[in-house]
Amino acid sequence: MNVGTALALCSMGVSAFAVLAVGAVYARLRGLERAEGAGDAARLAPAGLSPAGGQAVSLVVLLDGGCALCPGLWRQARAFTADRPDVRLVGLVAAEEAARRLADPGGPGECAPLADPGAWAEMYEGYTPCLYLVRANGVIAHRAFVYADTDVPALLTRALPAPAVPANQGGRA
Amino acid sequence: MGATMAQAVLRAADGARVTVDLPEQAGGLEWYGHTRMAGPRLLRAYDLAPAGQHKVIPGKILPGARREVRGRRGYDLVLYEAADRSRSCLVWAGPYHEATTWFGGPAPRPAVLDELTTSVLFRDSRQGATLTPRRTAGPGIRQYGTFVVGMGDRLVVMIRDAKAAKDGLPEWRGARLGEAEVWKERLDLDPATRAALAGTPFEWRYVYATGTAAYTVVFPTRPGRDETRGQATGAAVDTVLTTIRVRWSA
Repeated sequence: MNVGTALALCSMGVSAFAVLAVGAVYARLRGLERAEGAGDAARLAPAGLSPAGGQAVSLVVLLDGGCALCPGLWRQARAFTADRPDVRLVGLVAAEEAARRLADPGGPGECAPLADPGAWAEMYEGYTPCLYLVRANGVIAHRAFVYADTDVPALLTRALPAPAVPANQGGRA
Repeated sequence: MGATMAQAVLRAADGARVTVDLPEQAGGLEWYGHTRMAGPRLLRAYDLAPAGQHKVIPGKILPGARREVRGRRGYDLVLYEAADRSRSCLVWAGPYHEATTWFGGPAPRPAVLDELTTSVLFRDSRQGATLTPRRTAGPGIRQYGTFVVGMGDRLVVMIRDAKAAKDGLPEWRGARLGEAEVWKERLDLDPATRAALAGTPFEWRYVYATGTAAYTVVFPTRPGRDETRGQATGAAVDTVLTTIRVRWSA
């Protein structure tokens, strides 16, 4: 084997590597683009919000201390889930002070929302109040913005799986 | 004059801050917007509106439309396709506002939709939603034709950036009103309405130009009701025309 052949083999190796590298970078970019575009990659809720043992889903109500709709929504959500042992209800606020303001001892169910700034920041999408449905595996199955004219019981009926139906068949509206 | 003024601070679709001072005689306004983008393999117009407006689409605009929702952080992407697949539209539905773009045919393939949704960045806030080209979508996407529209029962105002609007203004000199230059142009009305409105402020549109913004004011009319508008309405119109102030800062 003379020098010329060795050089040719070397350069062939280098160019094959270059082709592979360009191809790999292209594939990675397309993958990232698809991931961003499809975005359906399941969004996970913070671990503390997942349903506890035996419960199918948890209903997370994202609240804040100052919003006008929050106290009413919090009470409606508690009334709705009072006879649903398969649903874990979590009211989520960012600060203790807001939790105290929303605490409503006279009303139905557990009265004080959970104050967890980390989880709140992770869930917050630029609007309160919001309703989230979190499955047993931590996946957020449904998200709804709640407005003054939103029919909350209808929304909850649509979003929550029917009591007898296993969670994995229940529903997205 | 003694008019009570209300200030609205809005976001145009391209991120510009628009400040509108209006007297209370103008009534309440709902804010809409429009923007366009052009680039390689992209030519699209987007309409912005308060949240929830897209809910009329399956009932009124595309009866029986197929609806497909994809959740995103901070907004939903909602795709509607007419039952006969003759039209479709894609809606970025945020908590406060929404943006809609229309396709003159069946819903595009998922790959095309992905390319479209990754080419723009939708951000919603109380002041307004912005829809801007995403930097990662590559160079050469140009945003243009952005405007903001305030719609109310008594007043419609359409606001553009002065830099973008300067070619559309009249060539002759307008009247000075404070820092603004004002022209009036006759509205294109049908003969009966025109006869009914002759001599009133309602037969004109008023075009304002300031150093930062160009805006058009129209007082909408409904046939049959206009004759009953009295002097009080005329005074309200004068108040609006003399006290309206708009600033556009990119």
